[in-house]
Amino acid sequence: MKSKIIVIGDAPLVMGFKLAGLEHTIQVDKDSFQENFEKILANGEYGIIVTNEILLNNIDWRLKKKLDNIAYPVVVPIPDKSGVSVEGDEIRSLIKRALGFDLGAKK
Amino acid sequence: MAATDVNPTRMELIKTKERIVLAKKGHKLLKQKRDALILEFFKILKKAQDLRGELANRMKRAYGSLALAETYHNIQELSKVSLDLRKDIDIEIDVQNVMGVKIPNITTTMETKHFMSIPSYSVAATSAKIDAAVEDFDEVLKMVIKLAETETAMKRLILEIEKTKRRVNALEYVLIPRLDEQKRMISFRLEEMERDSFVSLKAIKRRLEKEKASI
Repeated sequence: MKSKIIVIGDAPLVMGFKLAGLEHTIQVDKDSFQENFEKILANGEYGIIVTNEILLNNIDWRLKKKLDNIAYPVVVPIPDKSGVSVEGDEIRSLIKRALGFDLGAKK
Repeated sequence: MAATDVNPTRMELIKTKERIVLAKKGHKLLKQKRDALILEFFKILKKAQDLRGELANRMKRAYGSLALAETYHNIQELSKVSLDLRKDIDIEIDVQNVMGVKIPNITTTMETKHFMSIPSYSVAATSAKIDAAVEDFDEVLKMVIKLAETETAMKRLILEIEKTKRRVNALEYVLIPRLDEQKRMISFRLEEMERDSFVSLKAIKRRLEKEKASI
């Protein structure tokens, strides 16, 4: 399945990925994020959605649940300026819960 | 259902035995599924390494260089430059099915659109700050694409592993022991009833014989 990559997020994120050569970008703020995000999901033309982690964390829990269950499109949350990533921690804790040991500690 | 509130009948015993066989079969299959999932998970884990942490660091740097570029040049200028940098990115996403877990399999082809292989924005009108930002975000983009594949796959797999594990444990430590207990209960009761009727038959026989002798 051929598809495209799209960036939806705040001004620095969008600008940055524009410089990286992406054509499809949508600049949003906290209020307009969910609406636009749902539109992209429904569109189906985009395979990878790059977005701000903070914005993604603020969406409706139902939408979030839906995101956890679909394989297409793939949503990639990007950490913000502070460089702290909740997403990575989340996966690590999931691994710890499922396998019974902390994989991250090894590295 | 507790082991005590089942009818101690032969029919029930047969049913329970059948359920045990079924549960054990399911348990074996689920265990195999769990092992296969874990195997797949470690395969991806090797590929993913510590992409997340690296991305966070890279992102920090990229944001920094972008802020610098934005202060040296204004946003309009950056947008103009970005127009020239557009790439053709084709993403092919195949959905791969691992033991019922759908994970994405991404292949990308990136083609820069600019004429000849160097960016053609003006050297005179831009500074190295822009170049730095462009380079940083280029790296970030590559990482993001890699991350897109591994991270979702990992998340999916780990959730499924957890679910499967819980089922395996439930079967192994709850359902199967309970059924075993039930089976034992029923067979005890049946034997007990058999002995009971055997004894009463003996008693009746003895009494009948006594009556016969007294006549």
